[in-house]
Amino acid sequence: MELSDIERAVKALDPDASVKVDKAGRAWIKVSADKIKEVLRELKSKGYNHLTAITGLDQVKEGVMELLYHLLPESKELPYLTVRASVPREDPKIDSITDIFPAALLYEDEVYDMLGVKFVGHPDLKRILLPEELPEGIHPLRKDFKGSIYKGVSK
Amino acid sequence: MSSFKLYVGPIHPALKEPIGFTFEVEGERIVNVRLNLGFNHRGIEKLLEEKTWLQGAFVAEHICGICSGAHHGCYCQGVEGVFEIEPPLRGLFIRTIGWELERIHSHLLWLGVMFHESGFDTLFMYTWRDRERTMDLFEELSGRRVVYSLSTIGGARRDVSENFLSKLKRQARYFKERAKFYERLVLNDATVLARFRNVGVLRREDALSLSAVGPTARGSGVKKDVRYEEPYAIYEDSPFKLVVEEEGDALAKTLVRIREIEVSAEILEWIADKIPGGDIRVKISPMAKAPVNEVISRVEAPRGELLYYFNSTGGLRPYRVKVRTPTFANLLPIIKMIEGQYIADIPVVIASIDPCIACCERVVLVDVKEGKRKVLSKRELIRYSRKWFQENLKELKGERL
Repeated sequence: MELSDIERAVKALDPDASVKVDKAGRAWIKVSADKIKEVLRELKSKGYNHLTAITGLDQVKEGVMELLYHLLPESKELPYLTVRASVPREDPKIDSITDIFPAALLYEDEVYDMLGVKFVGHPDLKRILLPEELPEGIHPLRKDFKGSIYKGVSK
Repeated sequence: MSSFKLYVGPIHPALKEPIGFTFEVEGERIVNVRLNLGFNHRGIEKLLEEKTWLQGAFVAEHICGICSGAHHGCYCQGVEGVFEIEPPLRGLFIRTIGWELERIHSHLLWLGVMFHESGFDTLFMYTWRDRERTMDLFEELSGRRVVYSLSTIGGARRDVSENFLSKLKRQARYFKERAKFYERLVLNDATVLARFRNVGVLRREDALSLSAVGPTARGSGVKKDVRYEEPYAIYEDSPFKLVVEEEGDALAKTLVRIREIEVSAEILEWIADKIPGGDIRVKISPMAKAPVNEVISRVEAPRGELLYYFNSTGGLRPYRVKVRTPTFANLLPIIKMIEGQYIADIPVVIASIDPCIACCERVVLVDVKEGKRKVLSKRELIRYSRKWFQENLKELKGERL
């Protein structure tokens, strides 16, 4: 199994998918958000069986919220892979992948907590790190978050 | 049978990661557990967006007090990727001294905690006495005993002397001896076996599906180690050996860590022999502007895979830094490990993932049926578990001994 096989499998599911390899030899695949579940299920069956993390990335300029799924392969031949998908920033919603990767339970909670992305199908989406009584719509890692940020002691 | 709810946490914020567990218990057996996180959330990811690249290194270092070297090194390694600079070999060797010495220090500390949790305080003293030697080495290496800022963007911050290297080699030999001693002891001591064997078993399938990392996964027969998958820095040439145990219980996790002390000591000996001369760092301006880039940096911290993701839109500060710490990945496996265990095993099972929460301060016992609440301190819980084991050890004979 090589990266080209993975690329072919992903492109069969999502013809618009694009693959690039960075200088460290790690692969990045961009897919559309509504295909994320099928793509990750396919990747899992191809040997990417470990989900390291889900990163939420607030791209204010493009008006999208990007989600990065970092996947670790079982064999050493395949490169470390990051699957990325964008959802609209105003109403960020994406399918939950907890039924494919149970490990995503906490990671999706974390992304929801910090960036307000709603994961459809997550069994119990809640704030995990910030206080539960925080009002809705407050997500500190969003770039437009206006919170009190410590600027140091004024002289 | 009516079930009880038992709240463990949120513990001592100053020392390790505070966390809360609600255990549902039936009699002495645990049927379910719920996690309660966020007691010590410090908003470091947001803070890192506010700092320059170099300032960020010192913020990242303070994420964890025990594996600060892994965080610091991982951050610097990632920023080097963003700037596309190659640190000199000697710098990487010095960085690796920090990483491996830290692994020995962290595993010895954990062994002490584990023995303490199981009521074997003599061994706790033994391991922490040995750990003191790693601290002394760190003091000589960096001037500090904890949070030692060994790496920097572009290499290492301080050079090592010949004198230090010979001392390092001598101490590495000592750690190897001690690891052999602990291994013999753990495998033969009745007290340790009674508390560790078949306790908190994480099956291989669960470790895989829940994406466990580090010694927790390796104790269940999963070959996962960043040094093995993607040898970074100088690990490609080093005498690194992957340590895997199959059983998945607390004993297997203990053995994995003890053997890793041995492997780390071997790497340190090799470093002391093979360290090349030359520069220790590439100079880079503290106000340097980064190019547009996106980088993932991975390091095997003492507790497992540590991941940093950097996004740079060009400029003085990172656009986004994401940190995934190993304990966060190992929290879900606790749920599988604790099911069907005794209340008295809680300290050992939770400690067995090395969760940085070894100092839980309070335990709340709630009787759901009668609405009664009982709060126990950690000390009382440990006392309770010791007493329970003294009374019930005979019945456990077939299961554990």
